[in-house]
Amino acid sequence: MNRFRLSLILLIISFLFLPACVLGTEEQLLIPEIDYHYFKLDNGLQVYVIEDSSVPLVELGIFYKVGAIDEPPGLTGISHFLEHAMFLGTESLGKGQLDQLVDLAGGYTNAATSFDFTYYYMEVPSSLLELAIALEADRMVNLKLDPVEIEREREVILQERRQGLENVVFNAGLEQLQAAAFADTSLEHQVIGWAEDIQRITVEDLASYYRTYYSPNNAILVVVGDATVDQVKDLTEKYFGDFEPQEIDRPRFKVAPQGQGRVYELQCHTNIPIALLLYHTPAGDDPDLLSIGVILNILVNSEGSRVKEELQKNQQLIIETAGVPRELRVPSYTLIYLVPTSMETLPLALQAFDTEIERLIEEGITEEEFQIVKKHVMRSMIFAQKDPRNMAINIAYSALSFDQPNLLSQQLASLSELTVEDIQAAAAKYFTEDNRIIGLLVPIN
Amino acid sequence: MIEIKRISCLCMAMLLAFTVGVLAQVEFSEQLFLELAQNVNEIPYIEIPDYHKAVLDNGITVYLVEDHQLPIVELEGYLMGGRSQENPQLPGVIDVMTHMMITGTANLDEYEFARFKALHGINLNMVTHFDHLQITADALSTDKEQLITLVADVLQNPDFSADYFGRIIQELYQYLAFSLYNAEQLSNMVFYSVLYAGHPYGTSYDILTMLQSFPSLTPEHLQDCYYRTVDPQHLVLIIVGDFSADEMLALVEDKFGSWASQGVELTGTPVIVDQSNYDRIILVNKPDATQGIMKMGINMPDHSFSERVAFMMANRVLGSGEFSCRLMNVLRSEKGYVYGVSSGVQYFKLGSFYAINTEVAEDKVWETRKIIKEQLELIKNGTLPISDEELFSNVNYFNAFFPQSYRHKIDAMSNIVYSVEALNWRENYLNELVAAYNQLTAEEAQAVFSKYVFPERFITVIVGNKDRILPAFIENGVEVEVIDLF
Repeated sequence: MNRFRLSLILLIISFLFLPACVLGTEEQLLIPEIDYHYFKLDNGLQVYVIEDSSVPLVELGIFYKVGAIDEPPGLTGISHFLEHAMFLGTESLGKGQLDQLVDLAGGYTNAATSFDFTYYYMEVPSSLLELAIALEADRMVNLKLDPVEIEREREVILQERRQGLENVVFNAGLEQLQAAAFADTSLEHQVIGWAEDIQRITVEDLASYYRTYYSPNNAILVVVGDATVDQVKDLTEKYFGDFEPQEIDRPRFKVAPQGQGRVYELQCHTNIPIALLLYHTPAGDDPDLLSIGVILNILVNSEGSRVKEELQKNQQLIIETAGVPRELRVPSYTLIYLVPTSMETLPLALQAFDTEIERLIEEGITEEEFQIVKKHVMRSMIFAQKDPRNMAINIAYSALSFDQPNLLSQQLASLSELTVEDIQAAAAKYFTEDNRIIGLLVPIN
Repeated sequence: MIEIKRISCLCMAMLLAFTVGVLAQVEFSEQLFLELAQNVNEIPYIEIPDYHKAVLDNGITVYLVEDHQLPIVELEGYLMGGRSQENPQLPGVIDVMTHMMITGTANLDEYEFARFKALHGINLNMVTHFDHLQITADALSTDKEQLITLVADVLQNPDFSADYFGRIIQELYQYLAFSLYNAEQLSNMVFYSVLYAGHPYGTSYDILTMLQSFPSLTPEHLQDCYYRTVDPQHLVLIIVGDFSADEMLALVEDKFGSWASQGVELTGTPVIVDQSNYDRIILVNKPDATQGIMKMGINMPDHSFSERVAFMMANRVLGSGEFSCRLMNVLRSEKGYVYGVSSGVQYFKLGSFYAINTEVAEDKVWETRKIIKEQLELIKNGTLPISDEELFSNVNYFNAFFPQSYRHKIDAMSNIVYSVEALNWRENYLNELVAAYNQLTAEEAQAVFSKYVFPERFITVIVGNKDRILPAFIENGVEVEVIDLF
């Protein structure tokens, strides 16, 4: 969720790329190796640098390990609120000056908040690398929270909520479902938070939250583009080097055991029903995530996937389906949605979907299906290398959340060792009726 | 004036602020940042990729670019015509036609088609635009032959009578019905139908007419649409990637060469501006909405508009969508009314439009519209003309980011080829564009904006709850037409 639009970066991270790896095909492909540099300041700030001088621009991103799952009850949305506040001035710069400076110099800046991290980024001409690093350093420790501006920004955030959540059927439905299914846990609200909490958050709350989580040892800096690692080392030492690390007392994440197997019927402003199936799945670094990705591909995501072939084309019970795992640093869920053709076909679609799951568990997958998955992974990985920023985001996210910058490459390397039995076992473990919650978004009346 | 305002804001902030600062090795100050931000970007030069151009006997124009950086092949195609060729009584037929074409062919049934794509890792899509159909496809270079084979099959061998015809119609019908619940779709439907009344452009988003006509569509309608719009002489293909140009050309000739042109002639009637639309305000009542979506616009000259560079830069000052533009500055940074607001021109062959889009709380719709019109007037009548600083900021930004927009050869070629083939511009137009905006003065940008923008002519379409939006308009004596769909 950034300052301009709702978007979940996590949705695009899965199966993106694999550095320095070759997957076998009939005709071997040479996959270019991508190098990155890494260093860590004494205060704990981790820095990744990917050098790419193809155009004279440099992108600087800073990830803070704090997001919606870290929010206490009553203060939902505070991570995102703070993200907005980070553009409203520091001890040195007034409201909007950060944007003005970057704009005037011919650059661009924005930010995004997710369930488990907050991300700020700037893209500037490479001659302005020092400006970008200095601006990020300044607002890591010198944020100024003006009560008048916070009140105005509160209205902007409430409008963002109306625009991106309240008036979008799917998002509004998912919010209701998560609230019901994950009551009293950190997953019961969306990143933007409840409207009443957004109304309630005070300047003191924001200041406290900022002091707790915005420190060098809770951040990862990523520089991609026309810059050398030596330049970045010198500048980060200069601007961040003296900042003190601090103890992070993170609230313990609570997983919701309740609700499994339940079906929630939620009335929405829609003319066709939508079924949301939430399966409890482990944190993003769990080895089973690989099998879960393969299952989703074969079941609902790929061209000619089983559910599309059977439920959409053969039985004509649905008009659309897809699935995505939410790969957080804590256990979360995998979402599969079905859009039935009508209220009458809704129960039939759910029944037919379960039949496909059972068939997968009992019969496994075919060699051809496995081949298609590998092809999909390989092409995704190679196409993603068109833009080194994808690489940077993945490395930083994996390092921040799991302390494993090369997590994806490890997962993809494991792909060649994955067996049909592994996939069957994962399906039997996670894709069961008692491990899921169903939300039926149905037309009002 | 601006400096004084900034200082005064800073003083207020110092008095009111809740400060959480920490001292650092570097003394952060406004002066430090102003010094670091001194930057004038060089005027960029966009390299035109080395390409091979060929025109096949049947009229297909092919541009080939070798790029061996990654083992991939990317294809982009323009089939001229698009929605402008539709019969206004049967809107959407061209979308149904393309949907059928990318679902199966006479050689590959629906199942085989999906399997072929999946096994060869082929991504293929066709999107309908007002003046053309756009084909995008890509694959790993190991599958280049299958990629070209599939695209050729899709274009030459549609099967509109396939057994999935009924299902596709039903699915598209349901998507259309669903889009009636989408405020943005509703605003587009009304906006286009008013601005382009009676023209194929105007019925392109007409959900209600499509809901009426779709159930009676037959394979013959699609076949007829295909014969009237799809012809090799109107096709331009751009292929970039890890191949030898000679071998790729031979492959294209092999797969497309036997496709005979039927001499299809494209039609098109220029848009006629209906002056009775000036200053109309139309409110589409959506009782469940908790905000208002607002679209304000006017007709503009067609895509050959000779002053588009000056207008583009003037518009960026008003509504680029960045925080530095005037609309964002007033409506978000000062008032806190909107999350985003932006403006821009959509250029089309038969008549373009200029529009401002935003979403806003219901009780702020009237005032937001008023502010937007005021901002238009401030530039129009020169009360607050476009400044050198505003123009420089946008020129400097463009100079920095232009090269990035065309760093991938497929993007550069796609843009260049469309400009050359569809607009008859010169091959080097990107660099001419760069030169033009760098030579532009603030006075020229201001003059062009004043010449073409008439705030009193803007049509306003709002989608939201009438009970909560209408009172402010009534209170201010402003007439609003209300459409009740629900």
